[in-house]
Amino acid sequence: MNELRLFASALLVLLLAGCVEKGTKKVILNSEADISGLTVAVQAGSIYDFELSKRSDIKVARFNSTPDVVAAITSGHADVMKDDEISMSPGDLRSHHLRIAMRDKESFDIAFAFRKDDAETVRLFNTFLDEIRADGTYDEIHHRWYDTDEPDTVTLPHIEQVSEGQPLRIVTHSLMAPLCFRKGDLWTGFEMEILKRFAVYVQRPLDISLLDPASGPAALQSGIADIWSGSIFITEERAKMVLFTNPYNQCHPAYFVLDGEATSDLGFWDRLKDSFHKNLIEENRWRFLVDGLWETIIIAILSLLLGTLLAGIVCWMRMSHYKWLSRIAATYIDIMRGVPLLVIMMLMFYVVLAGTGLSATTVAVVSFALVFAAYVSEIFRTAINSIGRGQTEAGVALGFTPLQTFFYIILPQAARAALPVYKGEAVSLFKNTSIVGYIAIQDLTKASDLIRSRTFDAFFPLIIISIIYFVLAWLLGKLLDKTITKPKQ
Amino acid sequence: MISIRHLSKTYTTPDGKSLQVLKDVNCDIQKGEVISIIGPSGTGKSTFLRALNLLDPPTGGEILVDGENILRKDYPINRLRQRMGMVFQSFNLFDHLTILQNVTLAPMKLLGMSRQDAETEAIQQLRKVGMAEKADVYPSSLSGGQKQRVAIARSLAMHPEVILFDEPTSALDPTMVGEVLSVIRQLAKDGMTMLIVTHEMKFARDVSTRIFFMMEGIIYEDGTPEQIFDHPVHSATKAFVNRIQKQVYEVDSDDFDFLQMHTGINQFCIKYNIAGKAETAWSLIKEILFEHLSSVRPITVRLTHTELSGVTALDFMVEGLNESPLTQTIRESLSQQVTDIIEEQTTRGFRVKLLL
Repeated sequence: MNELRLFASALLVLLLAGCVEKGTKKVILNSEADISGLTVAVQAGSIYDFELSKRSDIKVARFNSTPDVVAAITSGHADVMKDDEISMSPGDLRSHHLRIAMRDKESFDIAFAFRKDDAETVRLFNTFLDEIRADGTYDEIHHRWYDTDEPDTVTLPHIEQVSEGQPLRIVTHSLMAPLCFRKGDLWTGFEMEILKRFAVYVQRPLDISLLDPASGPAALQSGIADIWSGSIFITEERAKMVLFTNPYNQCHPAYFVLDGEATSDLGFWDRLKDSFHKNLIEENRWRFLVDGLWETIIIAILSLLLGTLLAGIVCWMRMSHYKWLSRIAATYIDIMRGVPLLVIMMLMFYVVLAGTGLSATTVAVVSFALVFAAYVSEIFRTAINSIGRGQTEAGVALGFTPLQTFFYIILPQAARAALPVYKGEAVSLFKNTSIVGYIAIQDLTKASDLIRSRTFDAFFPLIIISIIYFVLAWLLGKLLDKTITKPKQ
Repeated sequence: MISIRHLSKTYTTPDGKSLQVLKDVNCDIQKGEVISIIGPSGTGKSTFLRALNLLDPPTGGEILVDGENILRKDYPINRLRQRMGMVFQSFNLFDHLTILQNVTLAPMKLLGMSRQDAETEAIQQLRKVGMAEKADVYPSSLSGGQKQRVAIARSLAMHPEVILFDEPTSALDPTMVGEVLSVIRQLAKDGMTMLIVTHEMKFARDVSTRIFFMMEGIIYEDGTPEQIFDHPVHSATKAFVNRIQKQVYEVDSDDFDFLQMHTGINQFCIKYNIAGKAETAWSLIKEILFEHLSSVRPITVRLTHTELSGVTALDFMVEGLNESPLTQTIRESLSQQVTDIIEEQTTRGFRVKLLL
């Protein structure tokens, strides 16, 4: 229990630190030249990213979503941000003390991107777009989401989705009203309304997942997704890899700066209470955490089981008398230990298992199990080798077969020898599941992103999930201790 | 029961050389025989024993058990091993199991005994070796002698027809050798067929019905204990059984570690079953080194024992001396405590030898 007490104290210090106000500097922009020397926050892989990266006199800070970009500027990590003017509602601007400092002269067309080989669906979409433009539905949608100060309070009209048929798989990175955002379980916003109506139009169910913006083209190319959405600019380069629909909207790039300082006259406890309410209670946001936690636990447990089983097999191969079998296992272990886990998982998702139709969760489980097996097989091997040759001899001399000797005599002792290191590896696997967000799985970490995207509070959701991770890791350790008890001396 | 014909075993050393440990071993073993295998180290005694249950499969020859060649490819060796117990030098108890579980594991898993039957049986065997009291503890809390007795009980629980003992007392502290040997003695009395690789000459002589003297990869001489120890045919056998055990100390100054010497003398005496002579030896050493020859340094002190004849001697050697350092009074005082005093001039100096 001591570790728990220590953790609680550390947490309190963090909480106090997090509630200290940060100073901001005043930025005045009149022309493009004025951003020289500043740090500009943009969405990674966006057109602003490409455009601003060409300039050597500024520092570009890249983030995965608009909320992160906003958080960067409000937390002082950037001086100015560039994004689509229409991606932020006037209400959002006010609540984050932002103002538009300067607008670009040009505007850009934005469209949905489809798989290169999916011309038929693109044609259907274009027809659909023409039809809703003609009958006034498009204007109605646009009016609903854009002619309001507080688009996150807008109710999405009920659009009855079909449940049968081949799903239309959408990946998006956007989590910003009015374009596309989550309200509780519901995907909503301007783009989502169009897509939901389109799904009904083609009589296919929708399957929406969150993916970082840079992975969009890869998701299409590897056949993991059918549609990439989230205010996608039509660029020539992208057009080589994906098929664009006709533009359904226009975007107006603008620079945003802080306008005055965020002030709060609430005391510490009231602010904490406020954070708690905003991040967990409102719109039932705790549901994100529960769903994410479930996903995290499922992935951790399944990959732990599968990985341990695999580790046994790899260990058996590694210790085999057949040189070639042992060499295969050794090579496997070297590769899995030499390549970062995240890279292996992405390779599995976008390349190796891309065409198999396996769910992202399955891909994550397989990837984690493969890497876990490589580490743990070596732990097993060391543990088995640490059991003296005499134990095997005694077992065999009693009349046990080599296999019986292994299971009755060597394994129980080796398991005990391996436990401390195995435990560490298992806990580390559990914590590493926090990277599954990269392949569009909404785990616990991603749940905190979802909450942050709505509340723009970086601090509270991250603290909450670190507490959850810590407690679970601690419980996992205890559980493993219980499973394999030590002999009484 | 067991017939061994032209058994040979060649190892390949890691540097690619081949080493023939067993050359041509031939013998027949009958039920009820207690055979001790003696001989210099590195002559294949243990290899021979481990070849019998194919723990170290031989590379040539044949082993016939009840007329069947167990080196045949499809021979059910596990079945044979169930009938052929083995006790190791390093005990090899299963560290993760209690003493009771160590003994019940094989009968339950291999003979299909119920837990209750196996435990009743195990307690019986543990009683035989005096370890029933420790049934519920783990091996790590036992002494070496206790572990070895449990290992014997574990072997007995399978009701083997023969038990192979591979230097059962070599890893033991001298004080614990006795308890293990007495258990084996009892087994011999009960008529258990046994093959024992041992360095304990007196024990081998007392307990065995037959002795194999092994040397250079063959059974050099095979006979009853009387034959081998008292009337050996080969001179090599004679030299081996009559070899002298010794312990040597160079006392060069009064800073010498006498405590260690005391312990060493005691252990030596326990090891060769002459514990009764330990006190005499030590008091003689003290008397001579600190009273009679207190001014003479260095002195080489040597304790020797011939196992077979039972002759124990304590000698003091002073280098470069050409007359006895003893005076008549000393001689008289010493002769009360020893059976004989031999004073002799050697090439290195003068030696006083006391027979205990």
